[in-house]
Amino acid sequence: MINKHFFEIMLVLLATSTVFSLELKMVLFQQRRVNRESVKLLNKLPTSSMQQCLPHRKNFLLPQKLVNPHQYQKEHTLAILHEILQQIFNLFRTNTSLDVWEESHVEKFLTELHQQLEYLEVLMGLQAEQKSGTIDSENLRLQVKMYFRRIHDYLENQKYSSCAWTIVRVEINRCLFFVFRLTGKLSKQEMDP
Amino acid sequence: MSKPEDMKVVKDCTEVTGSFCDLTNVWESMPETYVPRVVAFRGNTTLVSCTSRESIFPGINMSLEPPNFEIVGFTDHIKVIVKFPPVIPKILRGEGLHVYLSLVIEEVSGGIIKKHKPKINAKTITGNFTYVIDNLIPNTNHCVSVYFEHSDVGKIIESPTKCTLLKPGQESEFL
Repeated sequence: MINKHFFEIMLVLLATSTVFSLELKMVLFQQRRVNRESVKLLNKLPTSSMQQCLPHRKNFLLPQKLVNPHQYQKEHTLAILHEILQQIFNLFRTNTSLDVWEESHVEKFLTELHQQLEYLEVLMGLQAEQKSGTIDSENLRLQVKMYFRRIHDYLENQKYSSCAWTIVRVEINRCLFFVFRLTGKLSKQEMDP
Repeated sequence: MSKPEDMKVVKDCTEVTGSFCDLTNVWESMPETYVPRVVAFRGNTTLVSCTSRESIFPGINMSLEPPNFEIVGFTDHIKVIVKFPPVIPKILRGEGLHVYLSLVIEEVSGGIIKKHKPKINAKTITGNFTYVIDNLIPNTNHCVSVYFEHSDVGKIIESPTKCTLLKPGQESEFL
């Protein structure tokens, strides 16, 4: 005997999947726009001469799993994308960045990131209705947090100098590049589930 | 810039007597930032050492020039023969190519633009690659251009447009 609520449950799941798919398409479209704008804004920020900053370079040990997104599943991809953008947002929100760059540029950058974070959170809320969170996602998020902790520590040790921010800007460019790849991976998975 | 490594001498760009040197195959990684430096010597004395004020970030700075192509018009379809160079830059070999770049074949007729994005990989991008644009309206003029589109950022360099009038009686042996 079929549970009388079976069809209602199926309908809700189907509706959620459809809404999730539509929302994902919109979020991916926005993400591509945010990716482009972030890179443009980040590279508008004035930097010290590269020559004088070369001695300040540091290897922040970007987690290898980020570099190879095909190693993990779609639900992890969203979580990691959100964590990276959140960490970049936190990094540039510190008051110590404003001394080096024009306030309006930083604010525009933060606004773009904040808007995208909100879209991603809605999507992750929808995804949570389909599946519960996993330990794997949390481990990957933790690796991202530790990576950004290294960046924060570096800035503090370098007393938030102009060269330190130049080095960090270069590193965030790398990070945004992997955000492009994560976005591309989500797009492909959406087209070929 | 991502690691505190020593600067590397570019082997094919030592004792340069001309006004430029091609560094295309020096760039290895799309997300990396590179800083070029030019040093001039007279004997053992360093005369000049200039570090570029602007760094090179292939992820956004790189734009590929479009490939050469030919078109052959038939009654209701056009064969586009894209001619890739025999060797592609090191940075695009492997996954770099299809992840970061896509080939676009744009067809315009009657003011309507249609974009075709054939899938490319490291094998198809050397030598000739043929793509057929079908279901076209006969007895009309169609124009085609071909270019590479970066996945998110980077400038697009469009190719010159080539046009053909589709006449009746032109049948392709391939369809």
